[in-house]
Amino acid sequence: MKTNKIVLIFLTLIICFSLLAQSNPFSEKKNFAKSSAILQKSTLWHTITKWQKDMNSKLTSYLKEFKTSFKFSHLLILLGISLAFGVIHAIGPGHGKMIIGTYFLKEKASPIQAVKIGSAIAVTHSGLAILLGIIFGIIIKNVKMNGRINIENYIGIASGILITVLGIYYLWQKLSNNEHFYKISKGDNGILLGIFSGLVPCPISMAIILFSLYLEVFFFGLISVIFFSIGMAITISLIGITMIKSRNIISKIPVKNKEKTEIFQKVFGIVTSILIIMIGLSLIIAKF
Amino acid sequence: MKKMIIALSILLFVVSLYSHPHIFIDYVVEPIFSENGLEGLQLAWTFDEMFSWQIVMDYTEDMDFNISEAENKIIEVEAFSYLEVSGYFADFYVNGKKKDVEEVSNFLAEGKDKQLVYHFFIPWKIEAKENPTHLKICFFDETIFCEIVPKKEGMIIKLNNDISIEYYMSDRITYQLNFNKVKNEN
Repeated sequence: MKTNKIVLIFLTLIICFSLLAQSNPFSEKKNFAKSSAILQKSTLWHTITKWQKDMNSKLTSYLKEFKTSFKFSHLLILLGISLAFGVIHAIGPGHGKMIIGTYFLKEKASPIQAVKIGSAIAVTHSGLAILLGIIFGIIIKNVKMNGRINIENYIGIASGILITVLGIYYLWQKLSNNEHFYKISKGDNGILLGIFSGLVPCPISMAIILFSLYLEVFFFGLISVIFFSIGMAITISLIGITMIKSRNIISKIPVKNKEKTEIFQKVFGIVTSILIIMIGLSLIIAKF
Repeated sequence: MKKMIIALSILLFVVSLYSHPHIFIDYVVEPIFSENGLEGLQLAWTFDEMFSWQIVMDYTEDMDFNISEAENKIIEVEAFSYLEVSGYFADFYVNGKKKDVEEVSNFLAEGKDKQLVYHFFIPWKIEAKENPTHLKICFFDETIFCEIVPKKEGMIIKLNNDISIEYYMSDRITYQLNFNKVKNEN
């Protein structure tokens, strides 16, 4: 009972973290969810953000360089930087990590499934950014930063609604204990959840696409974003695998009593389904 | 029990690694002193090239870094004034008491080496006394969308004959500034 309480406390903490909104404070007049400054003062934070800043800067420089000259070795460096940038960037909030984490706490899964769902999130997250980048950069150029953010917010709301609906479906499955639906959910629904949670377009990917369109080096911007996306997929998949390992440890805790173990796992499945619903709702609330 | 704590620590570690900036800002702050004490802070925020370009493309007519007065006004309204909600990312304390930033003035957007620089002034009047006044000056974005760090020489102090000023960094983003009125020997 004591362990259940600890699990619930930690999971509540995770929900609280997931409620942090990620929106551009330069273009929206609303009260954003806040985090502590302690993290930002830490050396770890400093190191990670410095890497990202340097990569952002180098990526910009190479794209600018390709406007006037091309070196294959520099292209390889650009792709390497994009990949590493994606790996580090995806450590941050969003990118469906909260969803994938909760999902793998809920379901027994294999590392391959983690890779599949991680890839689904990354491909949707960057793919949509590429699509919107092309739309805003070529088709409807007069949409300013505020307008772009409004459109992103609507997509974010849609993503939140879809995740909530899927969370309700998971909860219903757990409560009804329907094996048939359970089998369906283990495969396709995980990827579906990945797609839904990756729907919010990645601002960095969109910025790269818009920047490359402006410089008339779209091809280089596009492959840079593709490699950035692969980097994100690596991180998200690794987090998924970590969660699978964590679940295996957690699910083995009350091993002394089989009945207790079953009850614990059922309750755990219900709690994580509720978590998915709450994450979906928090995504909707954060956009208002 | 041990295993569970390890597992939960991993979970918490994953979510607490909330490092996710999209905009990078390097700043320089210059506390402006008169003979009476502090008048306010003059800020210069330099943005990363990608964000600078977005602002210039969106809010300047000829899409270059030569920003006219009219364009400056548009940038102020469209890509600066919203920061009022975030308190301009300021985390200020005077003698341990929090100070909110209520207004800023003299906004100027400048293009410098293909990067956008926002100059603005934060009024903050504090009379200098014989006992030192302690200020804590820090900028950070609580939403983690922006990473704001001081430049290498992130604080500029102009010497003042009437006020004694000393400053140091207490951590990598926080300046401690102490000042007091110079005692008149006569």
